[in-house]
Amino acid sequence: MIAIDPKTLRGNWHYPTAVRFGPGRIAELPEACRALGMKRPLLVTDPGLAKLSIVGEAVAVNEKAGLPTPVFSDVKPNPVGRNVDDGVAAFRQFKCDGVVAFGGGSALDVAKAVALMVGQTRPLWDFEDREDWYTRVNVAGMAPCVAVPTTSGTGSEVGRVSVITDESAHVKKLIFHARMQPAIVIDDPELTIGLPPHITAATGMDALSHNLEAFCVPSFHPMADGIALEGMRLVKEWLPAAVADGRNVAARAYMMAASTMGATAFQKGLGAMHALSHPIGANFDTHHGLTNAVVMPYVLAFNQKAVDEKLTALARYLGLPKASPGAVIDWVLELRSTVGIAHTLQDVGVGAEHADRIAKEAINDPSAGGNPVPLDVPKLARLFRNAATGTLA
Amino acid sequence: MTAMTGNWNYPLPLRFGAGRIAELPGVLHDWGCRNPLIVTDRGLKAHPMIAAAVAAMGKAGLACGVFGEVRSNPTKGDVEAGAAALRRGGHDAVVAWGGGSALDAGKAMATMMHQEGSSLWRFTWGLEPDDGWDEVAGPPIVAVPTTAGTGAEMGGGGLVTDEATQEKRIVAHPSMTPRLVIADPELTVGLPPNLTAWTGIDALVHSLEALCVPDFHPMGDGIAIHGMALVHRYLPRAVANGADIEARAAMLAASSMGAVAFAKGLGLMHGMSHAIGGVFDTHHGLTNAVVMPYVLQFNRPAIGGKMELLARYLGLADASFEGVYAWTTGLNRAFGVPRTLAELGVSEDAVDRLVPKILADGNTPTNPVPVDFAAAARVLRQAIRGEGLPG
Repeated sequence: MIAIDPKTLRGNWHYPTAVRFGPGRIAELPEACRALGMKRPLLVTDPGLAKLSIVGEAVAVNEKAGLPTPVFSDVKPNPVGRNVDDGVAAFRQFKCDGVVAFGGGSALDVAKAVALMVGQTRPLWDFEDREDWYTRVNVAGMAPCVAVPTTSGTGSEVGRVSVITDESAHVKKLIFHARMQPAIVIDDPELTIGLPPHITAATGMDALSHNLEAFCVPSFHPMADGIALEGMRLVKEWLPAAVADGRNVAARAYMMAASTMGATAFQKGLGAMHALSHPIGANFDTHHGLTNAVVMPYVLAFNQKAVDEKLTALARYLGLPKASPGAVIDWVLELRSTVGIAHTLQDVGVGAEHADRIAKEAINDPSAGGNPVPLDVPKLARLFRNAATGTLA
Repeated sequence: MTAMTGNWNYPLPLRFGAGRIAELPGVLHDWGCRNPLIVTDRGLKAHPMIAAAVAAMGKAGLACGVFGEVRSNPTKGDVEAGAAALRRGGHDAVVAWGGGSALDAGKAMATMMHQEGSSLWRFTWGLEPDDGWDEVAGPPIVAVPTTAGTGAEMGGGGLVTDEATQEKRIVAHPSMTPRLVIADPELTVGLPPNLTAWTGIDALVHSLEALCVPDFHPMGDGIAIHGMALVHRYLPRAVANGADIEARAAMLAASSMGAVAFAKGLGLMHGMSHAIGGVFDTHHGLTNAVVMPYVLQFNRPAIGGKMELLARYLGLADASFEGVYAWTTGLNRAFGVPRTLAELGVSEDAVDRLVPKILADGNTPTNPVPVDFAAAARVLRQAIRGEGLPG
């Protein structure tokens, strides 16, 4: 294989977020903060990351440039409303004027929600992605946000949604406004070098699920399709390498691109994988990416007739042995196995007996509407049981 | 079949779908605009769709003027005349309506509306911004493409001819960026077969050249590849039957996608087309089509892998550079595209004049194979004479 110099994996993109992509570009953090008018940003991250040198270095590079940057890190892996409230309190306590979202999906989502909520008087749940609730937002009061992902990943850095669990209802809610999209993203693959193999695998499969589900949504958005297509090819080519050797910066870079691409593509929508993952995560606190990876082949098998032509084209693009939906499913199974993903929900501690309860929640998830096969509670329950027992049907 | 309707944001808000031009008055009204100016070209100004738009605006309580003097390959003079019309009429929005010429001219006019006494070339792309550049502002722009096409609706730049030097110059400024695009395939139904073919190949060349730019931009690459798949499947249908609305929709999408992909940059095909168009006033899309085979052969050493990927996705029988070459030249033959630049009126005595312009064009440096004076002259001569192609 030709050696790729990761320094050439660098670019500035605008679809529509201004993305500064490239190894080492965290050095541009002060400039990005200043470009959005910040003098004192709150860096929002998770407790695991807060102890790592990458956070210390980011804060240091800002402080060296004259930008004091306090840190808030009280963020749960599946974040809850209280995390956002506490983040807003920290923002006010430290008299901040902007947010640096630094981390995986959890930190990114809390940060985006904090940037939203510092300007609002209504409760967080009033801004759920339903009907025209986004018109309730006081846009002028929102704080600017620079996003720095450290997983590849949710792609939340280019998204307009924060997924926050309403603990009282045990439900993951999607908080949405178009302006929640961070104005600047720094995509620095070097920040993901330390990600352990099992997290690399789970977050990499999340990136795949975003591209794949977006690709399969039956609405007309060929730009999203094009992005999704290439995003999936990058995952195929580079996820195994990133899992096998975390210091392969080229692999980290391609996976980071695939992650940002997944969330760009999913402006088109998502499907049954996410409709199931959200309630499973809300109820059993499973890792989002891992859950998507576990249910992925079962949802593909369930949907395959409705997306026959698309999956055939995808198989050709990926250079699979056969141009067919079956080849795509085989590839997904093989990839999961290679990177060490569990085969069934049962294997991650979620048994088939929960099918009806999860199905009743999944049908209400906003992602359900994008599935190429229309969903109902019995179908979702059957899908859940398949994923729990390892039945590919 | 999926309804070919959608709202997109890459990189600016776009409303796609048959019949959606009906949303135009409502959009302007919501923005608080009451006196838009439709900017279009000489070929379109008498078209019923323009009169229908004016009538629809009136019904929505908007006054609406029409500036229909834009020429193909618009000039600085056209832009200045349009800016003057904007001032005279006290207009508060620009609706740039047409092919690349009207779209580019309309966008530039918006920037120049309040820049009386200032030169358009202040906004030449690549020039260091002067004092006050950041503060330049103009009326909001709605872009309505009627060809598929340049994709000029998708960004804040345009191509304007400097009559003095016969050069096409790229001008760009944030105030040239449309606030909204309405991409309605019904507006492209009347495009005659030859223009459908030439503008369709322009869309193809945008995606093809963007894909071949060696920079790292996988989003652009994905969009380019899928855009070309749409051209592959639908351009022959759109040329054969202009009323095939599915084909028209796919081509309009492919056209927007080509322009989004070319945020990566373009290459020698465009470097040549701009130079030739500036001097000989040839149709941009047609010129791209003529030079495409010659530049593909020139670029071959650097693009094999990408062409294989493209060919595989398109399902071409020959999944290789040769397969892509055969497909693109097959399109040229099917649509009667001339085999040589000589047939477009380009003579060999123009080579010395054209080569410096090719080298100076902003697109030439991103060609996958570096282009120096000798290479540009060689490819140009081949394209004029019809030499150097296999078979």
